[in-house]
Amino acid sequence: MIILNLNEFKIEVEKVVSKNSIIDDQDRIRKYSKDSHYPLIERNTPQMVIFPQNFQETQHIIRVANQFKISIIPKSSEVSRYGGTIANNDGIILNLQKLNRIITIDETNMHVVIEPGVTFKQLQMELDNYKLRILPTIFSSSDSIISSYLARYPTYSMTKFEYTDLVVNLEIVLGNGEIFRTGSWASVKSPPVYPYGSSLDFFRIFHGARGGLGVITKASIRIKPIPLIQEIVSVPFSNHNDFVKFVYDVERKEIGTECIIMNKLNALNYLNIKEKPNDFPNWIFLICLEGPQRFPEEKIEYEKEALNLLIKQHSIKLKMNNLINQLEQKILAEFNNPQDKKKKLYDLPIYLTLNKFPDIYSVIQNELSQFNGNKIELGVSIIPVERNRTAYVEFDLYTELNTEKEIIEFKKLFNNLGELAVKAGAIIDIPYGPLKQVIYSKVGNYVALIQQVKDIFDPNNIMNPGKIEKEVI
Amino acid sequence: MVELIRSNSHPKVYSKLKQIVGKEYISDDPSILIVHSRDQSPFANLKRMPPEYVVLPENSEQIQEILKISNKYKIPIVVQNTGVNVGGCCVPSESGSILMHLRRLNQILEIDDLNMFATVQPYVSYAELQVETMKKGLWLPSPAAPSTVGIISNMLYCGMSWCMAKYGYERRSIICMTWVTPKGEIIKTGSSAIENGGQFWWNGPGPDLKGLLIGAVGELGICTEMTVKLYPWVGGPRLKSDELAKNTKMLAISFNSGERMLKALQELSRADIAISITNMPIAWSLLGMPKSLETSRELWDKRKQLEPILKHFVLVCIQGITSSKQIEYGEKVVRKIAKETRGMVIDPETMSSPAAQLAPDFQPEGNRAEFFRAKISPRIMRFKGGFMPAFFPQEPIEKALKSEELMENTLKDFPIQPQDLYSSCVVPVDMGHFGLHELDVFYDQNSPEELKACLDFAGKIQKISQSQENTWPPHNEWKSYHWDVVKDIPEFKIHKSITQKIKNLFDPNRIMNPGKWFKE
Amino acid sequence: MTIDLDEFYKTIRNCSKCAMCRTMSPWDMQSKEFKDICPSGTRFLFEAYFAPGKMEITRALLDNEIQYSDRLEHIIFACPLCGGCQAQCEEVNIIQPLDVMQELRKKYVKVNGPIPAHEKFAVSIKELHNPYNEPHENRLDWLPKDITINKDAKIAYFVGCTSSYRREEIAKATVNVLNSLGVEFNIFHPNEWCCGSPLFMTGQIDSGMKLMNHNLEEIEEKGIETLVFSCAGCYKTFKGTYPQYVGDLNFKVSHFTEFLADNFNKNKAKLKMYSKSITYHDPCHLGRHSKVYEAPRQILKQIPGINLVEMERIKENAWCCGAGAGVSSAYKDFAYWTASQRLKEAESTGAEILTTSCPFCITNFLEASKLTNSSLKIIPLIKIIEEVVK
Repeated sequence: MIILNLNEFKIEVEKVVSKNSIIDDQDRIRKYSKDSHYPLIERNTPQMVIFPQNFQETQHIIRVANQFKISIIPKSSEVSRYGGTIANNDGIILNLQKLNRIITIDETNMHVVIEPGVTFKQLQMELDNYKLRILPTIFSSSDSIISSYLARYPTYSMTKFEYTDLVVNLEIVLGNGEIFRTGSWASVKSPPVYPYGSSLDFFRIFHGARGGLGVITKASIRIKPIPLIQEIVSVPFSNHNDFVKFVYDVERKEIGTECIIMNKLNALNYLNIKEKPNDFPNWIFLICLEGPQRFPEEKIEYEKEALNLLIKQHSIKLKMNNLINQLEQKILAEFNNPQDKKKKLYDLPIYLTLNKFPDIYSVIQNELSQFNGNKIELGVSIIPVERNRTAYVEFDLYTELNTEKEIIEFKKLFNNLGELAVKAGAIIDIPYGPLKQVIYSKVGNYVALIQQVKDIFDPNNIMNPGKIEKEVI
Repeated sequence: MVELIRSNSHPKVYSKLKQIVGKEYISDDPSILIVHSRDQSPFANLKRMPPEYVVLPENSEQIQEILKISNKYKIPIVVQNTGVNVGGCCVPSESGSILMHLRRLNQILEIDDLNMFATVQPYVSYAELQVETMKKGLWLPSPAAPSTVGIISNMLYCGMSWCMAKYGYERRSIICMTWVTPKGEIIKTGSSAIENGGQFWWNGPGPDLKGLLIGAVGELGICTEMTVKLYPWVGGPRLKSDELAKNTKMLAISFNSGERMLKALQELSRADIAISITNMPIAWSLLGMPKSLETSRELWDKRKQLEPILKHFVLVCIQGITSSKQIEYGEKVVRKIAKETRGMVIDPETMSSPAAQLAPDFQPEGNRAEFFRAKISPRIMRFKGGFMPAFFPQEPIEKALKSEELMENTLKDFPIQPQDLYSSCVVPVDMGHFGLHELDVFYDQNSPEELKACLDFAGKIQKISQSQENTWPPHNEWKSYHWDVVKDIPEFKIHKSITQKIKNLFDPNRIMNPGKWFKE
Repeated sequence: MTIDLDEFYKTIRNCSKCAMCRTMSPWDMQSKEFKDICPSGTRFLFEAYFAPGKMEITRALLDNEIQYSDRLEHIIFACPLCGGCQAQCEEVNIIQPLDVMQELRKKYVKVNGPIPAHEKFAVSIKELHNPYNEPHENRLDWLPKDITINKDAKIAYFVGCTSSYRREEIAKATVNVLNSLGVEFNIFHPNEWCCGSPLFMTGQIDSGMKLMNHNLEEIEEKGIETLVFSCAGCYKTFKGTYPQYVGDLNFKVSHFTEFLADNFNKNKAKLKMYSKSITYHDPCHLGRHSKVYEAPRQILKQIPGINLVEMERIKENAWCCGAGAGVSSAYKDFAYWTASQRLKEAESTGAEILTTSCPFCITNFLEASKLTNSSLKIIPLIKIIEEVVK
């Protein structure tokens, strides 16, 4: 039971935190009541928003919150997603956007130490001076790096398994107010290069915790050199069955780095084009070939040669027109600097083995075709993960929801789609809104165990309650 | 002689265990039990106690039943897989234990060659899985430990391989696990936590619990199934000991300074051109390569003559996964980096020549499969009998020299002279983001003085390393010893406290492999 | 080789438990199914039955930490002493588990006497000079009347007990082949006694040495320069065991495969066609213990029509037939189990015939194949040779 005693809480907080960092004006707070996945995620206005300026203030706030048993919801990005920062009950938003220092850049060992408010865009601007790059997620370069990675948002670079573990060490203020550091940071003098514990592998438990275990105040993150050359190659497909084997073959040969497959709708939406020209392929596969520091052209050459051989073996006819050319340029820019998606959509993000995609796609299409509600257009984007061991598939539902009825019907549909996808063998990594029921009804004792583990880190259950436990449903 | 401690305090549960596993799969005969009273770790030699029973369960259900008995009567349980361990993890630390041997859980349950993963039971070794997966153009890199080691136990123990520059630590290859907790509950991690979720995705709903189970040295339960990642393999369906794998090229680079070698390791790892990049320790080359111990001894005595080539020595293994041109490209990059760092590229065929001149029967040609499926590490141990990773800093690659200096300086003061036989190497991890720097000492197991000296040395150097800025304490070996070493460091207090709470959560009766983390 | 357990204590203690001795070499492994090399450990599963366990038991006995028991007896003697563990260990270490186990048996017998099944054949050997309880005077009953023996020949054929009493077809085929190739040879009977292998392999050394002394005297008296064997066990006993006690022998010891391999080379054109697919089993005594791997294969490859298909576990990696070192006398089920594993492997090659060059292996395979209903034909190599040189 959450006890709210806001005024006393505020007084205690103000002993350390400046009054200017605390907002309790309802007009100003309202914007925190919903996120980009509204209305699939219900809105809920927090009681207060606090902007700590440094680590000490953060720790103080958590300690006081424990004292008063007040929920804390950490937030680091301007745009929040998947309901992670929408309070389930009454609570305080701890907005970490002002903790936005880039503390160190280690070009020798290729990592940076940053605070949670640092965005991809902010860091990349700094890294440009060193010819280094941060690997962005698919959403927006205005997002917080730390919260994006820990929320397990997909990155374009996850096609390469060398780039799927990007978080190294974390400094956390736990739910009980204690400081905890993972990996080699546990010994303060050690540089933050070694991710794993000397005993248990603590750093992974904070992935996907959605702020439910503590507040990250610092992290070391891996970066890589900017390639000297990047070249996009596009391959068209008319049918979704045709590209599956091709993608397996390409990835088995470890060709390229970033890779995405999109259907026509998503591809054209990238270009902000409403018409659907006939000479644009139904599906398009785009891959980025990188030429690194030494002999970049030669690397691209042999990879391209291998790719062309596969194209020939699959009897694919390459296509080039103005739109595809534009898309290639746009995608290259997107891989390096993702932009917020302009069109409103509701995404069903799943992971599955790509050989199951045709079945799931048919099932989703079928379900949509039977939907009697609003017009919905279906966009599809696929990113092979770790050389296509798995694939991230995003079904984007483009629709307008203007009335309560439309919202209710759509939620039902969304729930059904989630159920169908899971039944067909997919996993929903970030089960949000209606998807939460879909997943949490199928997890047995796993989530109960998570709750017990959470009790160790957050004995008073003040940290973003209800996000990772079961009872919220 | 070390005291052997036998039990007389626990209730007799032989008949109950027999009912579960069947009479053929349980024993309390001393000749069966004594075998489990020691392993090769110095810690297991300090105080030895055989278990009270050895049981061989067939499946998770039997394991759960055994755990019920163990919890009811508060009898400690120790679990053993292949038993290839130098950390004392699968011998009892308490008397009266039940030793649960998982030999009967030995199946490869699935190899999905399209989606590149395999599901195995505990007694499946790297060699066994590799022989089956290589036929399908896939592999799981073998650890530097013998490839007879069990996959599950090595991964959970934070095993290392020569291929970490590309594939990372072994634990990075874990996808899903099925886990029987000490309370007898079954947990599944990753996508298998979700009904119908399959075994292909390593993140389950919410926080990733598998991290808590890795590195638990058997104290948090038993992993009865693990799904592991497989990687593309173009080396041919079958390895041969006298032929290098197909579509593969090995290159060696020799440096005349450690600094240059370290710089090269970093650049090579970052260049992303090879499946394996490693500094090969001179001890490995001279003690491990020759089949005959006499040749090893001969070469070791003459090592000063070989140091100019072999002391700062890097091996690079390139495979043409994309195409054969990848090998050409990779070689070109290697040579360029060698030039930049003033290293001398050596054809491995020629590399053996200086050693062959010193010892005519030195024939590394019979070891071509070693890189992919390890076998020779016991040859390093045969030299003196005992082996201990004394110092295991995980550190920025460029800091390795400082650790090396620390090691050598600390060794100088020791009454026993293991510096006559110690081995160090730096293995880049995760594309050179950091390096594993392993410093091993070799001692005569039959000499209590040498054993004590090595333990003292390990303790001293780990304590000293806390004051250094570049190092990180050892990973999973000898946990209870480790907590002793770091007990004065404030930052570790919370680690210890949380670890204890997690232990209490999973194992309230403290039955699971007690004494490995904390002195009970 | 013989070792002194007390002197070897430190080495035993240094076994690193690398587990190389449980399976064939990982470098040569081809499948999970046929990876094991230790019959005892694979069958009985407890760690004590594998070589590292046995080393630990030896250490514990030397340290007086354990006493002799029924289980300990089983661990020590339910092992065919195939040497698979030693072959793997020699690649990486110096523990010599086979030699240690042989010494352990000696130690056991010294303290406790032989186990009942082994005592039984020891009595038979003592009284009848063979382990089969057969009259000694019948030892040469198998010899066909039309075979030419030369009492003055410098080459002699040592028949062995199994070929004399149980696998007569092997003895017959051997003498037929020798005659066909024009080799002048002698036979020892009535003075050929058991070579002593069953006694040496079960720790009954003193009794074994009596046989050894007798046989060596006979050979010296007859002035034999080359002794030819059709039994791998007898061959290994003369070649490997006797010299441990008496030093180098002053005559040549030759298994028939070695003896004939050269001969075949010269007479290749005279061999008949034998169009079969065949797989060859390396008997432990001939293969691992004596390092004769190529001679039998050379012979098979020279016979026109033969398609030699190898099993996965061959040469130093071969899986034992299961019968040796007193196992078939004391633990028949285990011996058959071991043989049935080998039959499965042989069947997996697709070969029509399983052949080998040891009568003890042949006997165990034939018995086991009745239990497994194997469709493989099991034919001694010498019988195949007999057919092609006729």
